[in-house]
Amino acid sequence: MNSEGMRRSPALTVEQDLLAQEALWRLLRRQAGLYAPESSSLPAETAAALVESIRLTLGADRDPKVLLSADLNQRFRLGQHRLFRKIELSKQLWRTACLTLPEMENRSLTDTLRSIGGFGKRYNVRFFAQEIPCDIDYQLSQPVPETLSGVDYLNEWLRRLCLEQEFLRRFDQPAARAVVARSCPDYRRLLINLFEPVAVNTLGLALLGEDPQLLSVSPPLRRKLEMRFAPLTEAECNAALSVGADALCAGLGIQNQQTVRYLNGLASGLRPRLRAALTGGTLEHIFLEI
Amino acid sequence: MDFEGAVLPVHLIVTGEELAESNCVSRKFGLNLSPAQADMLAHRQEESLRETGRIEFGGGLLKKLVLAFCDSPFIQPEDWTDTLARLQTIFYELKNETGDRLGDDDLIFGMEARFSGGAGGSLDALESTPPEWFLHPDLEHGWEAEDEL
Repeated sequence: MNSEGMRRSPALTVEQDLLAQEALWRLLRRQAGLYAPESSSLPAETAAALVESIRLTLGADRDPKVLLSADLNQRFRLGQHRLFRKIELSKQLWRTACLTLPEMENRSLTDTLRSIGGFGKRYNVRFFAQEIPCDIDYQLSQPVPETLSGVDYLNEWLRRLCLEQEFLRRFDQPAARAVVARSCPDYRRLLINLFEPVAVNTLGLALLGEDPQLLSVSPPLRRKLEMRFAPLTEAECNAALSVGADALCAGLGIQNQQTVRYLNGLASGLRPRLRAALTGGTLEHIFLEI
Repeated sequence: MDFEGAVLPVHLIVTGEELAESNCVSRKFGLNLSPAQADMLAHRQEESLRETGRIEFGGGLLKKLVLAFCDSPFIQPEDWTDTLARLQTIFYELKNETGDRLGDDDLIFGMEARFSGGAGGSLDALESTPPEWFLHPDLEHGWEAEDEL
């Protein structure tokens, strides 16, 4: 936990903040007694972690006024029940992720999913709800914001992975594998994202009005992309990529708004790479031929 | 985390009741604390907590230390307040060094056993006792040499 744990929230008046801190302190004291019933003191780090867990359980980070609730203990119990439901959701998301693995091997992905499989047993809802007791090594195309913690972080991570994998499974798997291998020959062992090279290639094809299922961006098509993007300003480039993402979704019949937003996020994140590559004179390391 | 700057509604005061109960027992051994001395000890306890990076939730440590140590043959009435102040600090240090694996009562029991035993009434020897001694008191013989050579 950071030092904000017991500091004043700007959303509260000075008087409200004092009441909130007293309420938080009472809950912390109760939790400390449950956590270490034979000790009247705890290391500050442990106390801070308990505070962070209480705040997450209550949702006090989003709404500090919850600490002014008349029955904070009841709110805390409800918060714990909500976390238990989220654990059930993470189990469902994990099962979906395991069942929709793309047909391409990647050690960090399988290791990560194996580790997440034990999350439910290791997750400590009572005292350390902000922790993520598993090893998440696999790199998503768009990382989960660090503002999320605990089961919220994990569920968002799994949701994004499911989106990526669902996207990958829309394509001929050997061809998709070939794109990934072209991007990174040692893709099985290295910490790379499997979704991004395929998605970028399909975005390039959609930008040219080609069928995304082709997956391969031939040199003539790539040169068309280079000519199209070279003269564009940053704003024009952003707009073109956004149009391309929408065209890609339309071309693949994607209607799930979460996937649409994710692909738009991918497209907007591509602009700096495009600019840098165009400075070097070619997009051959971005749009790949197989 | 750093709780510094945070408003912690914790007040380390020795209540009149706690002081009376402590004195009631320790007086039999010629040991007594005045309210001013109790306040000083509370102040020293806050310093110890700050130095050891711990947060106190319960209170009542002073009474436990008084009850555990007042019948030790090594306690001198004129040093009673200073001894308690040192014991508070050593207590929190040992809580950290033992990784909080011992409850308060078990640790105080071990501290008194060490102080009145192998440490020979020396607070320095008590303070330098390896934490393993408290975690595994059955291995006491293996630790005796350190401060008794």
